[in-house]
Amino acid sequence: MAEVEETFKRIQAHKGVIGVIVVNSEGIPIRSTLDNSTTVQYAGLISQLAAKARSTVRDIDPGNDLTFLRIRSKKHEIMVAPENEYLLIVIQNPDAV
Amino acid sequence: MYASARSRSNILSSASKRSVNQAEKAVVKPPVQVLDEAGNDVTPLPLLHSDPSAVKKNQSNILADSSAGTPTDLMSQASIYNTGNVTASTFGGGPFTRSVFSASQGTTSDSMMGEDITEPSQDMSSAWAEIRHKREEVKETLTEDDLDKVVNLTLTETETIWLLDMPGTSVSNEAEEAAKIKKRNEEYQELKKNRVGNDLYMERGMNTFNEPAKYKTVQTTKITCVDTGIMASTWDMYDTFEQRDQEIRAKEKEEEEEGTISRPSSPKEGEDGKAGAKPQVGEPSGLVREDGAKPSVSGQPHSESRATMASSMAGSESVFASRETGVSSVPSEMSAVEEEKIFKSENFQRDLFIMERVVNLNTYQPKQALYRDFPIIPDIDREVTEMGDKQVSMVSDMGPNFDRLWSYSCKLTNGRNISCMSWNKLNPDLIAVGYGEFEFSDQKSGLICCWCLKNPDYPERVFTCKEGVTALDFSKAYPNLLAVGMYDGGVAIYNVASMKDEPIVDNFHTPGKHTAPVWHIKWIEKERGSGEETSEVVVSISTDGRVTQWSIRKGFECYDIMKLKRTPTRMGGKKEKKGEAFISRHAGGMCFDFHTKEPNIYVAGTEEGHIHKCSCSYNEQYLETYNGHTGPVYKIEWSPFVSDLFLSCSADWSIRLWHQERTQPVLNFFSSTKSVYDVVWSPKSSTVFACVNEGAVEVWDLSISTLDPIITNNPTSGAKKTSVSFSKNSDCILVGDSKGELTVYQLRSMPEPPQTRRRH
Repeated sequence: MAEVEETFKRIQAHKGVIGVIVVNSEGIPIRSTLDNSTTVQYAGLISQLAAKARSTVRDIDPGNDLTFLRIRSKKHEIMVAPENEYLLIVIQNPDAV
Repeated sequence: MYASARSRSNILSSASKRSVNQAEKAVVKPPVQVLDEAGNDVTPLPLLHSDPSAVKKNQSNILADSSAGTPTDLMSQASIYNTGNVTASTFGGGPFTRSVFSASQGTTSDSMMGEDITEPSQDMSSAWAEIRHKREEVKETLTEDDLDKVVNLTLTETETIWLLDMPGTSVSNEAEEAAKIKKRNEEYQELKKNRVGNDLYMERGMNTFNEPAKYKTVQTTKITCVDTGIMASTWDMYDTFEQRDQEIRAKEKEEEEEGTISRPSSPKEGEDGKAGAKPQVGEPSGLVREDGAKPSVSGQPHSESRATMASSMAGSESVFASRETGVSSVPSEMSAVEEEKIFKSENFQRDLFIMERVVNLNTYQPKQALYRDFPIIPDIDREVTEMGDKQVSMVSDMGPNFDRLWSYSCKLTNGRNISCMSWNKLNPDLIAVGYGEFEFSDQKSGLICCWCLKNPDYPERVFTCKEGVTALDFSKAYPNLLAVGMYDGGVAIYNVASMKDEPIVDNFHTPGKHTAPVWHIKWIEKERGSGEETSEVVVSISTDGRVTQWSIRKGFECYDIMKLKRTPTRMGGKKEKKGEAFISRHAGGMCFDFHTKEPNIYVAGTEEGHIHKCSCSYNEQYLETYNGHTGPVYKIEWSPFVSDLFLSCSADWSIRLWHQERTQPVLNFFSSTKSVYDVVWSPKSSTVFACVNEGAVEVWDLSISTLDPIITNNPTSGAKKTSVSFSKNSDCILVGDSKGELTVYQLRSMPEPPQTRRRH
């Protein structure tokens, strides 16, 4: 458990990382480093997108499954690790000095 | 006659006799009569005429077994003939009895029993009452002993009770009576024909009563209709089939296992239990897999729970539906429990681990691409400054140079001196770094960190040691084993595959432990005897003058390959100094290296500056001694390309190149006025080697110049450089310093390595 906390802190403190969110299977955020309204927004939207992405992957080949999802935009990059029980979201700005 | 009557008292027998007499009467006149307006007796006759003989038989059964008879027994024994009375006695006589059987039974009651006995005109019902009474008396005379008596219960089949008999109106053609019936039918047809004009028949009208209809209303609860829609996607169906297959496979495997294990007393039970449990287990797991909802979590929105049930039955449920309905509010205490569960799960740890690497990748991607020699694709959205372009062009004009990529360092390692490094033999991206002080004065606890290329911010493994770490080596045969030598002479072996912070073996308490710091340690493949496989042993050298071989076959055994003895320095031309009194016969060993081609030969460097070539077969004598250095030899290494050459560096500010046939150095390199801590050959080019002295990193290329290094890098951090290593799978060089920073430099514009040709 302590390991997990440590890794969590390291990711948070990494250069350019804006926020880390952990969302449960129902789309409710359970841990976040951002403010509430942003968190809820991200949680809802990203959950849906991850579900859609997973559905797409599996429709093409049901034996396949989604392991990681990265969305790169102009301002930053959103990295999502989807699982059955939860969703781990990290927002990073890779060009940050 | 009543068999049981014989066992009764006189009074009873007389009563029963009377009852028999009465029962034998063919016609029973009921006391209650129903008269219509005309005074006709329209009393409903009993539906069934009780058969006295049958009654008698049943009665005897009842009486004989009354002690053990229960109401249900009686019911089963008695036919409807006498059930009425029995039921009257056991159930207190309901309206049912009154209506079906002789109405007089309604008037029968306990209080009237006495009257019944005296009135001879009473019919069967009174007889029943008597019998009933009698039976009760019998009950009272029961004793405790009677309870232990073995009672025989006779179960007999009752008469068939016809509830509905609808004789068929048609008969099969193949039945026996078919011919007869056909004949009759034909006769009837004839009769019908004859009837038309016949005088025997007369038309007459009839009127039937039209019963008035009676309406009855019934009210029920509203029948709710629910529309449910389900969407089956390809993977939903695949999932369901997968799961079913898995269950079948698991069941088969279990049945196989049961067959092999000796059966316990109730194997069938176990199977049944399992078979029963499996569908239940399958369902919740199905729920978890398909919907991601935990069955233990209560209070889910109803639509979701209903949907999950439908999914397990129909095998398909859209994930969207469950997710969308689930976004509604959930009690907060549930989320705390879930959070714990999530954070403790292995998946989460793994995901965090991967995420960390991904985040790092984002930051270091260009550098890591350089490391791997990939072309860098610039980020098109990034704003590129003009300065950047100029710098790039400048750099390519310079000769061979370094490019600083990144450095491995973290909070843990700040301020520690890097003493040694070792690349993993299996994974060339993994390097183990040992932190320990060289000086006696500032000893602190030691640290071993395994760094990986993919995460420059934090080591993959951290092992703490009590003493400073001075030597490290990864094993070739077992790439997860790391041998560690320490400042206090201890040797330990760690397993980097595990996260535990303990060595798997160590020699801290064995008597063969070194008594001085272990400066060099290596895994060597040794041929043991004839015919045995080569196995790896750990060889260590230390200032106490012993070169020791450690094997981990049984415990941690050590065996001194060699004890380094001091040799008097032979000055060229001058006479030997004889008779020098030595304080200690042993020379302190600082480094060693085994020959690449002959595993028994090795060279060892000592504190006095001598280098000795030794063999494992002789542990007293040196094969050869090389004199040249005037200070402790810190590092010695055979060339990976030319098997007769080796390099050595020492605190006398020099690096020397030796050939194993000559006792004098072939080449000497003096480039600085600081002691050289480390020297290492390049794995790619036979003429290139790198060295670090206290202030700078130098790369030499012998094909270009033997007087000066081709690259000299003086970083401004001020820390002393203490160790250097070439990277195996890239053109990079790693330099460790005394502040705990391990910097990765990329070598650029290096001259081409020469073709392999033999050198003398």
